[in-house]
Amino acid sequence: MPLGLMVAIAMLTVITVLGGLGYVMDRQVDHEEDKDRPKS
Amino acid sequence: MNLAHIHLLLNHFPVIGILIGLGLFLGALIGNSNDLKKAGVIVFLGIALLSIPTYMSGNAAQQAIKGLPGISNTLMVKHQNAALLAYFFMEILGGVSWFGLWQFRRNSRFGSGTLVTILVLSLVTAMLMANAANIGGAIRHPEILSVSGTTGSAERVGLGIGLDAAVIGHFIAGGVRWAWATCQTLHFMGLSLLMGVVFVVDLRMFGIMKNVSFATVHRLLPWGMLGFGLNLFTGMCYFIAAPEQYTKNVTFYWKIALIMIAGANAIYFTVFDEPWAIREKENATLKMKLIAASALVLWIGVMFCGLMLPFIGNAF
Repeated sequence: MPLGLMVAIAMLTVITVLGGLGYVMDRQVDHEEDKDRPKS
Repeated sequence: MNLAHIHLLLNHFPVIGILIGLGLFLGALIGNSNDLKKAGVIVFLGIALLSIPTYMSGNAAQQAIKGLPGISNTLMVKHQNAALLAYFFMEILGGVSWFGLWQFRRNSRFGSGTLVTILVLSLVTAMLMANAANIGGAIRHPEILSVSGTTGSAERVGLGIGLDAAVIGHFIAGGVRWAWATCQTLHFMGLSLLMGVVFVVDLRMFGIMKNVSFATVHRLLPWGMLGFGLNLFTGMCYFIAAPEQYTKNVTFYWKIALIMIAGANAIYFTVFDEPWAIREKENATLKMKLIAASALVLWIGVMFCGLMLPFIGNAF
C-alpha cells in the first residue's frame, strides 16, 4: 500500500476518534447546562 | 547543573505529589467539599505538567550513568518502562482533571462521571508512580536491594509492568514505515487546533469579537486541549524514538520550559473568576490583557522552538 494512503488512513482514524471525543464532551456540556435551565 | 541533576530534583514531585493530590481528593469526596476537590484536581494537573520534564530528563540521566560501575542496565530499562506507563496514565489523569476544572467553571460542579474517572485514574496512577519510583530508587541505592539479599534481586524489584520504550521507539523510528509521518501530520494538526483556540480566546481579551462573551469562547477550550493532548502524544512518540536528538538540544529545553509556563497560564482562563465575568461588549482589564499577551508570546515561543529544533539545536 502506498505510504501516503497509509498515513492518510492512520491520520483520519485518529482525527475521527478525537472528533468523536470532542463531540461527546460538547454534548455533555449541553446536557449539564440544560439541567440548570428553569423548566417552562 | 545538567539534566541528570534536574531529574534527581524533579523525580520526587510526581510520586509525592500524586499522593498529596489523592489525599486531598479522597478527603474532598468524603467531606463533600468542592474547594478540596478543586485543590486535589489542580494538584493532579500540576503534577501532570511536571511529569513531562521528569520523564524526559530521566532519559538524559540514563545516558549519563550508563556503564558506570555498579549500575544495572536492566534496572534502568525496567525503570524507564515503568515510568513510561506511569507517565502515560499521569497525562490522561491531567487531561481529565483539566476537563473537570473546566466543567466546574461552567456549571459550578464537577460531573459525576468526571469525578469517578479522576478517582479511578488517580488510584491506578499512584500505584504505577510508586512502582516506577521504587525501581528508580534501586538504581542508585543498593541498600534497598540488600533487603532481598539474593543474587538477581535488582531484576526482581518492582511489579514488572511497563511500556517497552525500546519497542515503541523502534516502531516509530522506522519499524512501521507510516508511523513517523503520521505522527508529524497529527502533530501539525494538533498545533493548528491548539493555536486556533489560543488565538480566539486571547484576541477576545484584546477586544476582538467584542459582542461575544468570554463564556462563549470558553466553550472552545476543550478543543484546544484535545489539540494539546494530540501534540503531547505525538511529541512523546518522537522523543521515545530518538531521545538523544532532544536531550542534547538546548532549543528543546526552552520548548519544554515554555510549555510548563504556558500550561500554568492556561489554568487562569480555565478556572479563574475574572475572565469568566466578561460579558458581551465588555472590555477585559489590563491584567487579563497582560496574561493573554503572555499566553500568545509563550505559545508562539513553543512553536518557534519546535520549528528551530534542527536549526538552532542539533535535531535531525
